[in-house]
Amino acid sequence: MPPPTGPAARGPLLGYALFAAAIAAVWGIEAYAIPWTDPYLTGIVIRIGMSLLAVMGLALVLGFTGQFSLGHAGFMAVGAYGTAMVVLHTGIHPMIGVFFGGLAAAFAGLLVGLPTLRLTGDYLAVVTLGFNGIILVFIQNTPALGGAAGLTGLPVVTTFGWTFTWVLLGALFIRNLLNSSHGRVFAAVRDNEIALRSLGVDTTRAKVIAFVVGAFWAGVAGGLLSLYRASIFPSQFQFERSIDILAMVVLGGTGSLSGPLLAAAALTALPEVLRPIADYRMIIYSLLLIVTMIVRPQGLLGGKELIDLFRRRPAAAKASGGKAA
Amino acid sequence: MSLLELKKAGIRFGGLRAVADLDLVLPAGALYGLIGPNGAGKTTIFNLITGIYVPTEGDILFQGASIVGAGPTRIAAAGIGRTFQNIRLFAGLSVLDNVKVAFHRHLHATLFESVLRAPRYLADEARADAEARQLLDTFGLLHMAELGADSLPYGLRRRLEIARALATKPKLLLLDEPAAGMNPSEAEELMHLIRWVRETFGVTILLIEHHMAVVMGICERITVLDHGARIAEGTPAEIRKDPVVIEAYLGADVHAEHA
Repeated sequence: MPPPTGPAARGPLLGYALFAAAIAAVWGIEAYAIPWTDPYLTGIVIRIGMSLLAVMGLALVLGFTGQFSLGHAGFMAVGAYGTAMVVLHTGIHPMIGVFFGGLAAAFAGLLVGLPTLRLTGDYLAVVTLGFNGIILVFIQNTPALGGAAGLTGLPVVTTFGWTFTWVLLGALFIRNLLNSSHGRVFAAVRDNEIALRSLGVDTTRAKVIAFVVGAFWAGVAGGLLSLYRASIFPSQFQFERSIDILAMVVLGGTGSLSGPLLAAAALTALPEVLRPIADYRMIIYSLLLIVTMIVRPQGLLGGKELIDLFRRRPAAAKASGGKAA
Repeated sequence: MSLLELKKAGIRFGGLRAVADLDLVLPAGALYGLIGPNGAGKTTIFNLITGIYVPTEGDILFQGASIVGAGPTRIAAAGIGRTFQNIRLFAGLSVLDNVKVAFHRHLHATLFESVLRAPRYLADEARADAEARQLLDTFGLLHMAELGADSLPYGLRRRLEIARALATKPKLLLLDEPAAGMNPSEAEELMHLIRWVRETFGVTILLIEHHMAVVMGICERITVLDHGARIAEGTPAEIRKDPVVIEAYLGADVHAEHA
């Protein structure tokens, strides 16, 4: 591993330049490639983008900080309906609405996380599972949110360009966060909370930060989803979706950012590939999970990043977090 | 003035009085030992001092103020560092990062400054890195800085755990069986290390140890515990001769079997 001061010594300018280039590339593709691409294919890519956003948040919470959250789709729901409300009731740009959707989800994350993350153990899993259910019941019974019939009449603005602009923002945010003092603390929470407290670090605060950041990006994913097909329904955010996201993180590897992102892309595309044998989709999906857990319980890239595979370096040193993604 | 003072401190777990009526005065700069047979309540006392347990009776004063109920994080921040009997390193982090985590509390950059790589974050990071490397250097661990903490041999893990605790700049350092699992020559080396730590970092040290050569060799005063209560207190020479201590350790009386 390069010393974690590497980026500091080099200065952040190179990183910013690379990021700007990536954004430019996304919009270049949007302008010159998307119009000639099969809309079906573009649709899959956009949905992969939304999965990436949802998964990177949970990779932070579960993979790096070790907090078992089972209600990630609940935060997507808050983001989706938050975005929808802002977009329907104000005149602001829908993409700013997505930002507010993310904020709403982050606030929900704070409400759920603050009392729960003080405890160690399985409480978070139970509470987030409950939260996912409660938020859906709330939506189904609130006429202003369209109830079970869903909310329609939303603008369709979730393009490839916007989706991947958010994906790049999210990846940069989470990668930089992991590769900072906060990232070291998250990993330390996962490894040994008692030792971390003995160093004067507030572990509850660290867990809440990770959880709220994770909820924010899930909210953004939900927000983009709400502006993708002009309508949203509570059924899109059921418990099964939380499990899907969880499976992506576990398959991709805990303690890795690029692993779960890879798994998110693969598992979002997989159902499309398997469409001809749709009846067996869930079986294949389940088998994939079981086999991975037997053959490679740490996940595809447990504790590593994609770029590590191309580095000629002994894997002895594990970094504080996502060195590269 | 005493740095740490336990006043009739004790804790009950249901019907079990794990520690009772314990008085302990630790002057600043002391190197103090806590010994006793297994289950005497030594680690429980560390857990009381560091806030992992809250005493059910008595009071604990640090620098003259009560720290009862403050919680482990605030007590550590107040200046009490510790190591653990079963070494608790961050296995997934490098040797360097294990130490850098300890500086987290002293960093100024906000979350967004960290994410945006703002100048204040870069300055923080450079400072933490330099200080951590310097600390590792004084502990002879710098050449291993990039290795995973879990790849260190046992003796060096102990060393790293002490270095990490010192990174928080504590006034009081609690060492829980630092010589556990060490052979005589390693224990000898550890004694020098502990003395050196006290001189170099100016910390007061309270240590639990079973290794009698270590305790008797470096501690100025010793408290002996048995069944959660103090049975003797004094200099190593006094403790060695104390008949009560000898009985607790060697079981001069048959009744001790039932304890």
